[in-house]
Amino acid sequence: MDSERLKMLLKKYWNCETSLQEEREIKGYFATEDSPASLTGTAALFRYYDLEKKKELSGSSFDKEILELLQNESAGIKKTKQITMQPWLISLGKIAAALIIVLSVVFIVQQRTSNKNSMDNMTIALEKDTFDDPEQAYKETMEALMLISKHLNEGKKQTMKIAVFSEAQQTIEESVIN
Amino acid sequence: MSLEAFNTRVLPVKNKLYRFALRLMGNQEEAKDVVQEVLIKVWNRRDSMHALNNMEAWCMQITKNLCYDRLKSKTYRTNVSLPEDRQFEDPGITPDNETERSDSMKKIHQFINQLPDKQRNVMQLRDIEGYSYKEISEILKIDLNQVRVSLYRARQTVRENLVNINAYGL
Repeated sequence: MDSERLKMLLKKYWNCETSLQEEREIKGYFATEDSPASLTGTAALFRYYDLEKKKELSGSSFDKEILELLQNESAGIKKTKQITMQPWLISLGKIAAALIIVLSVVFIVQQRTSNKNSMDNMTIALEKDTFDDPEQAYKETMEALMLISKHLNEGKKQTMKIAVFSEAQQTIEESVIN
Repeated sequence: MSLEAFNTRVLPVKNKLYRFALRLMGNQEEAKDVVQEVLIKVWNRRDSMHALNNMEAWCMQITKNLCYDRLKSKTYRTNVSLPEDRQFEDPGITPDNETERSDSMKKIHQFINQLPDKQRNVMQLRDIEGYSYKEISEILKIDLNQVRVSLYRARQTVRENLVNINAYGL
């Protein structure tokens, strides 16, 4: 390569206008020829590029190691693949879920209707007479009503106490307003 | 994809992934770890790979993402324990290539590592790996214009540094 061409290529190189082919040409020049003293730095840079590109992984031992690792990996992969193979299982699950919903709705409806039937039976049972003698029936009824009345009065006594409280509250509220 | 196809199609990219990871992590062991993790990820997603038109760019993209994830957790860890600046590490020196490295190579290495992340990554991908602008924009997920601007700035900064050390003699 004549010095004119080298000069032109280097100018293009520093301006990032060289093609890859031209950059290879410059590298080739500095690798084989003695460069002029003015270009010592530039020559060193291109030699540096060459040297850096020669850095490599220690060949066969790395390949062997990695291929072994990959074989182990692919053994592991098969397991995970079974998990990824599941779309049909997922759809099966969907169908099962839908079935469960339908069945539970049917079950609940059935339950409700049977409950209603048993309630009807109870009302029928209540409507039947339990006493033969009207006198005795009257006595029993009175007793039951008295019992209810007694409990009601007891309850009323308790609510009277609450009434005292609410009265007190009212007076306080009134005094606050005034 | 079979293991054999992986061996012929994906594994040959490993050194490009390694160099990119090494640039980002600044440590050979970590870079190697990252490449392993990337390859495992690619293998696990091999079924979706035929849909990709640029497998290599995709691998590089994963490498970048994994490195940044690791660096994030690393800075977190070092913040809690012992602070360590990866810029001051001198990465990538093995007994094999140590003799090849002169003082000037070390200095250039430092210049490039001191560039802002985006510029440094673009420079790695273009000047060392020889990717096209379009491929770089795919890998780094930035637009073409940003690729050009970042590369321009990176080259200018490196050039200025070279001129500076040139003045003192290399």
